[in-house]
Formats: sequence, structure tokens, C-alpha cells
Amino acid sequence: MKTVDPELLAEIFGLYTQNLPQEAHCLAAAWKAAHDECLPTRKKLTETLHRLAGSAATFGHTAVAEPAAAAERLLQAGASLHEARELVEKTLAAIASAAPS
Amino acid sequence: MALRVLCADDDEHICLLVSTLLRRLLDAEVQTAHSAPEIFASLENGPCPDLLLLDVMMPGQDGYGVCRTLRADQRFAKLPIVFLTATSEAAADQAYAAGATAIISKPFGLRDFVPRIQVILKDSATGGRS
Repeated sequence: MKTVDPELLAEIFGLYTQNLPQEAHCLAAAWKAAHDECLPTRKKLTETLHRLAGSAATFGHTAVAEPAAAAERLLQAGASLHEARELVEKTLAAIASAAPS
Repeated sequence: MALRVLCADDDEHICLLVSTLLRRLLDAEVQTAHSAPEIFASLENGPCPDLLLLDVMMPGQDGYGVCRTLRADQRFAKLPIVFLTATSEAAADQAYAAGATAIISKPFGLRDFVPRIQVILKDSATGGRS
């Protein structure tokens, strides 16, 4: 079977890592917007966490993916934003640690 | 003839990774879409793909809705549709109820991804479910 050039894969993973600050920006914006307590903004926050959990895990950033997935599960289960705050903050902190400075 | 794949995910990095794997390992022709309207436009305007990889959560209509719409259309009733999602058991049930052929959970392993796709396509061609 053919193989994928490891350098090419490293480049794709690197692109994802380089984009992490943008992901942090999206999550912070969705978090802030969700505080208007409207269903669409809460849904947007949940979707943002879901996307981040899936992609970060795929690209090896488990420290980002795990709190994002836990926050998504909490919100899907009907928890308040207050209850999800710690996990969202943990996600943002993990992104800050993983992202290039 | 090359395998034609439509990869639909609102995360462009996932699309890039999947496209790269399928192009390099299967010589596939891969189109990408990032929302339901882009999926429908691609299907209407291009040749029918051999496989649709579909994310659940996308802006606007979600993957379940897209899948139901396609299954109701005779042209796409038998199109293999594989959900790519960070899924729960309930989400998997919902995907199969919408007409999914198979589900690949995120995160997916780079080594397992293409062999899994090959098994799904083989099973689909023989009428099985993966």
C-alpha cells in the first residue's frame, strides 16, 4: 500500500496548530455571545465546541479536545453556562499553550 | 476510473487532511464542501461521487438533514454516505435513521482511515452495512 509523505502530514498538522489562535477567537466569541441567553447563540457555542473537540483530537491536541468535548456534553445535557465556564476556560488555556507564540 | 469522493465538513483542516489521505493513498478525486448548500451545489453541478463523507454539525442544515434529503432523491438513494463525527451512541442511531451507510468517529487514526473507507465501499457494493 502507498504511504503518505510524513513531511506532508506534518505540514497539515502544522497548519492546524498555526490556526489554533483563530479557533480560540471563535470559541471566545461564541462564549461571549451565548451569554445573551438566546437559544441560537447557545447552539452556536455547542457547535463550536463540537467542531473543536473533533478536529483537535484528530490533530493530536488532546489537551484541547478533552475539555472542549466535556463542555459540549455538559451544554448538550442542559447545564448552565456557569457550570460550563471552567471547562471552556480550560479549553482556551489549552489552546493558548498549544498555539505558536 | 478514479474513486470520486465529496468530503463535506465545515472544518477546512479536516477536509485538507481527508483529501490528502484519499488522494495520496487511493488516487481519489476529492471535492470539498463546507455547508449543506455547497454539498447540494456540488452534487447538482458535478458528476455523482462514489462516496460522500459527511460531518454532522455544519452551519445551517446539519448532516442528518442533508442525508435525509439525499435519500429521498432517487439519484442519491444508493450513494454511500459516511458520517465523520465526534459521535455519541445517540448520534450514531440518528445518523443510521437518516440513512447513513457507516460512521467514522473523530478522532480517526491516520493509518486506519483509508482501510476503513475501503471496507465500507466494498460492503456497500455488496449491499452490507459497515
